[in-house]
Amino acid sequence: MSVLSDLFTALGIGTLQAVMLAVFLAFLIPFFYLLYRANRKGSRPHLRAIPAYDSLKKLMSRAAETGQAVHVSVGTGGVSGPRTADTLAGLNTLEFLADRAANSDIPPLVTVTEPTAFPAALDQLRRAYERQGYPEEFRFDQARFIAPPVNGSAVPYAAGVMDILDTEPITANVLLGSFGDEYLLMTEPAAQKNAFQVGGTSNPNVLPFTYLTMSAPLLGEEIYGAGAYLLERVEHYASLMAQDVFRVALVIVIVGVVIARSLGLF
Amino acid sequence: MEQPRINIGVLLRRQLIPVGIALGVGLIVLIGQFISNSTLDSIVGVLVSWGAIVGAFALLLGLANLGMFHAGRILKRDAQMPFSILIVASALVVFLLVLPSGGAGAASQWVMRYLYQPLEASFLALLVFFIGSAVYRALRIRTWEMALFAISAIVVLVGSVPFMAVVSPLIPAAKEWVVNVPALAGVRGILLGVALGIIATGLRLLTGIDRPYSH
Repeated sequence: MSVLSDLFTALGIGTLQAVMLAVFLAFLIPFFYLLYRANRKGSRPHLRAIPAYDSLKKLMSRAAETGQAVHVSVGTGGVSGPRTADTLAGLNTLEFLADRAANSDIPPLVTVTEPTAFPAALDQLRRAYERQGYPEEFRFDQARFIAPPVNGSAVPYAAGVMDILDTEPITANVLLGSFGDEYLLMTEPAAQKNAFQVGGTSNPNVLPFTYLTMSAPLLGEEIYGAGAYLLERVEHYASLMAQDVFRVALVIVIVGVVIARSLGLF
Repeated sequence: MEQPRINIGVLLRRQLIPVGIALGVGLIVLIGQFISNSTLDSIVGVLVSWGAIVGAFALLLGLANLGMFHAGRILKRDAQMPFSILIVASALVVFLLVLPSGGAGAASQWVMRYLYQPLEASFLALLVFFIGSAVYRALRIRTWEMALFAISAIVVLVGSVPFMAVVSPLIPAAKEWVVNVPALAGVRGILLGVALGIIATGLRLLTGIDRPYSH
């Protein structure tokens, strides 16, 4: 043990960093094993039903029937910060919706606040039109940059989205990504217009707003399932299953430590 | 059956080079999180500052999009044209005001303090009414989850009123219990799942399995 401690000290790895590294490396084992197994079998694992993803699959048909667009927001975070994972979940959802929209005359109305998320959102739209064989249909204004965050606040963006939801014909409102208190400002106008709302965030402070206003909410980690549920990619299935394996292991460890401490073992 | 030909140039440009750059940069920054080393820290610092520069260019792209959208609405004499004129005019005025002294200058501070902050506060004040209408709508959906949600909200709201401690010490104690036991337990469970989701997403990006930046 002391040898390991000396090695970590020599490498400049502190206790907390060592724990982080151990968790990260431990996650690699189930991830790669499940990825290998999923690739070999090539079959789709059974996923529990999440109503929000089922709704998202039907959303573009709804847009085609009503002739109204679907508003999509990938959140207020960017692709170069601590909230990147949430933004990527939003971009996965956008990829799925854009693919279906490319075959119809109703493109999604994408709004963005974080500058780094803007080219990523545009790229998802462009690639969707390319994949479906209509690259000429892509337009630079299909994603709208509303306003950059001011001192970390996305209220100016929320004000712009409120205006869009109020003045433009929208059949559904999809908000999936990283959000703060401004979330309710963007969902309540749509709820008052009876627009169908799907979305979620990982921020626990915003989850009550999500639960209250969304027709089909995604709570916490459920947003990271977008790639597996919507895009049905093998690697996303593998990572979802690895998360489950790791979660069960963590629960066992937590319960074990609680029992051990209660018995006075350490 | 003829096999499709692989264009090495396209493969390099669209897949190998972007994946290689993302993998290399991601791994260096990740290792920098685990190991404290001055050389590594300075390399990570440089890479992060490059990220900031790329972010600035992305902002220019966003501003071009914003300008084009509102210019289009003005040229088309859209019904929303007056608002577009207002947006473009106010953006120009603020730009000209802030330009001589910079972002930290007196003009910028004045705009922030006397224009932006009151507007932001007014918008956030709308949340009170929005919460009210959202809760009212939720209560009409008669499910046990919504009932539990409403009861918890009422307990926390009433328990936060200072004079409730005079009425009965049980009321603030009930609020403390709701916040510190079931709510905290739920939040910790959610955060645990979120952390695992972030690790999985990071891993997919770092290994080049997920490539949101290339074909």
